[in-house]
Formats: sequence, C-alpha cells, structure tokens
Amino acid sequence: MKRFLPVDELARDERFVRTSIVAGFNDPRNGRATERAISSARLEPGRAAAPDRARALMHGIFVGEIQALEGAGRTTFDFDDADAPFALKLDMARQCWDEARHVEISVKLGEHMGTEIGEYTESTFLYEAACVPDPAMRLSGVNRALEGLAIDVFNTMKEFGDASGDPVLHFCEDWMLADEVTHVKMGSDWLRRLTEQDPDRRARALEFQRTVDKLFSLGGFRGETEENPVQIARRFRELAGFDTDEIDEIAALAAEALADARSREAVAG
Amino acid sequence: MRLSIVPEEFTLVLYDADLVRSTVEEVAAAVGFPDSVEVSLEVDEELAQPLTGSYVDVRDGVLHLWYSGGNVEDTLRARHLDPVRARREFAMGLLRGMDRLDPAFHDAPADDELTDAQRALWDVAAEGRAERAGIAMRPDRARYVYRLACGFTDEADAEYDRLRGGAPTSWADLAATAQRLAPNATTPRTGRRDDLRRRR
Repeated sequence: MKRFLPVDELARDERFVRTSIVAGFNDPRNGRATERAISSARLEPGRAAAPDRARALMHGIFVGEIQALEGAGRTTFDFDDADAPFALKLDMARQCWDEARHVEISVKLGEHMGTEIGEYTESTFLYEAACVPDPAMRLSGVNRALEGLAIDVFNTMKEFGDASGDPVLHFCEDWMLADEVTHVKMGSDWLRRLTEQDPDRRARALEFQRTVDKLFSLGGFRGETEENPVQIARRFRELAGFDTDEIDEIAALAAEALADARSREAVAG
Repeated sequence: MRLSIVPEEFTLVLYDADLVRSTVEEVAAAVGFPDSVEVSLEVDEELAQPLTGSYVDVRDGVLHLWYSGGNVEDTLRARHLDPVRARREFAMGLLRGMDRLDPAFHDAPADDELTDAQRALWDVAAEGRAERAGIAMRPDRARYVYRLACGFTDEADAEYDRLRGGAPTSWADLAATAQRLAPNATTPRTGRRDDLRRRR
C-alpha cells in the first residue's frame, strides 16, 4: 500500500463531483447577497433559505467526515513508529471508527433532510490539509483546527435541530459533537507529547494550525457575529482543552477572513 | 400565455433566457395554466445556491413570479441552470398562482406576509398537484421544509399526507389548517423570514 496518498487518488464513485475552492472565489455573484436586507446570516430555522442552507451544510459535513476518516486512516499508516508512536496510531484508528460512524450518520441525516449523496459538490481541501508530512502538523491542522471547526459546525447544527424541534438532528449532532471534543483533546495531548523536546517544531505546528483555522473560516463562514452562519462554540471548545486566549485567536482569525473576503469583493466590484 | 422574463438576458449566470421561457411554457401546459393570464417572471441572478426563496403574487390580474437564481441553479455546476429544478420551481409557482387567481383565495395575504406554516402547507398542496401533472418532484425535500415550519409530529405528518393528496379548497381551509397545527407544532413560529428581494 502506498504511503502519503495524493488527493487525486482518493476512492470515489460516480456520485461524487469535485469542485475547487478557487472556482468559488471567481463567482461574479460573490458579495451581492450582502446588499440584501437580511437581518442575520446565522444558520437558524427562521432565517432566509434555512432548509436549503442546512441541507447544503449537511452534505458538506458528510464529505468532510469521509475526508476526516481518510486523513486519520492515513496517519495510522503513513509514518514509522519512530515518527508516530504506536499509541498515537491506535488513537487515530479509534478516530477512524468514530469518523466512519459519522459518515453513516451524516448520510442518514441527509436523507432525513431531503438530500442525497452527490447532490452537492465535494471540495477536498480538508483531506489536503491532512496530507502534511509531519505528524505534529497533522495533529495541529486536522485534530485541533479542523476537528475544532467540526465542534463549531456540529454545535450550530445541534442548535438548529433544537430550535426547529427536530429531535433526530439534535440527538445525532449532540453525539457527534461529543466525539469531536475527544478528537480535539486527543490532538492537543499528542501535539504536546510529540513536540515536548522541540519548541521550534511545536511553533511550526501551531502556525500551521493558524493557517488552517483562517482558511477554514472561509470568508466569514465561521465567527461570532450576525454575519457568520456558523458560530464559534466557546463552551465546547473549552471542554476540548482550548483556553480563552486560543479561542479569542480563532475568533480574530475568523474576523480577518471575513474582512479579507469583503476586500476581495470590493476589488471585484 | 403572455410571458415576460426579467432579465431578458442573464449576465452573472449562464442561464439561457430562451430555455427559461420554454420551460415555463411547457410546465404551464402540463399544469393547465390558463392562456389568458399574463405572467411576469423574475429570476434574480444575483442570488446563488443555497440562498433560495420564491414569491408568487397577483397584482392587477398579472401573475408575478419571483425566484432567487439559486432556486433553479445546478448544485453541481455553479451558475448553470438545472432544467429539472426549474421545472419543479416553475410548476409550484404557476399552481400557487392559479390558486391566487381563484376567488376562493382572494383573501390570502401576499407571499411576504404568509407565516412559515401557511407557506409550507400551500407549497405541499402545490407539490402534490404538480406531481399528479407529471412533474418530477422531491417529496423528501418538501417534507423536511414542511416539518421545519409545522413541526416534527405525527399530527403534522398526517396533515402533510392529506394536503399532498388533494388541494385545499380555499384560503380559509389552508389558514385553518395552519392554525390547527400551530399549538401542537414542536416549535410554532408565526414570524416571517427576511424578504430576499429587499435591498439594504
């Protein structure tokens, strides 16, 4: 079996259609929706287009879970025991089990919400972030940044289910959220252990985490204002081991990402 | 049918106005929309998937249909029209428009004044009729939207099946159904959503 599998060799059937994040940046409609009198971009049942926005996000969660499974799976295999201790690989194997279950749950939730596999495109940048050659960076970029984002997304969906009285969505998201808290904590613990004697490596890993955190704030997708569909879940991030300064930093990165998007839109006219 | 389309030419998206026109005409024939009624259709090309929304109103005898561009957009190819989605959307709009032209619905509030539950119930009834007219619909999608508005309850599901199987006879019937469901809806909502047509 091949180590460090490139993204274009991921196994997908004909239902999956890939899209690139760059194509989205060039859409001439970008930013025009902000000219509309929309009171809040938060993903809540009473907001404009809530059902379709929730459905699209659920499909994004589904493909994200597949890639998270693939990323954790690669970490169990890509490294020698000297680079990644067996106990770390065991934790990653356990995470694979969780992610596989999340994929199944997300498929069922998609059906529950009236969508189907392949209704929306798949962007593979989650897996690409999971392909860095240093296991410490994978832990910071995937377990702390991306699984941290999953905490925010799942909490948003859990609240959506709660507000709409949807017991299925609420219950499923709550369970998956609990797993994500564990994944983040696992990443934090292993990052500390792997970089205990190497502060430079730890600094590089945390810098990579910041890059991923900003990238995945996706021009305002996640944040703490009315302009952000997904809200930062401070309480659950604390449970996962983030301290207040770290959460404040993520909020600042998210605000930067939104400001960058607005600048791009202004330049594009 | 006299049909005007706004815009006459799409510039932000790759929609073909002629295809939009022929789709509306084909669907109108399928659902039995009266030839004598003038229709004004606006597809707002500034709005994309998944920011969807639509409004159907009759003013001075003219049926006004407004759709977010996202309603008819191909979810796999940004900025391209999805003809299947377009058929579904236009069928729903024309059928609700036919209701609005019926005197039994003249006291219905404008679309932007409907509650979520009223709108969802009306959409379900239109979906059922569209399906019987041979338009391929997505009942799984409709059921979820309906449940968000009317509750995830057995009573609401029973009402869904009833409405999907037959049209409401009047606005009063539809409004009464919404009223009946409201107290038992898991999260009754009477408020209205933001109107996507309005600019800041």
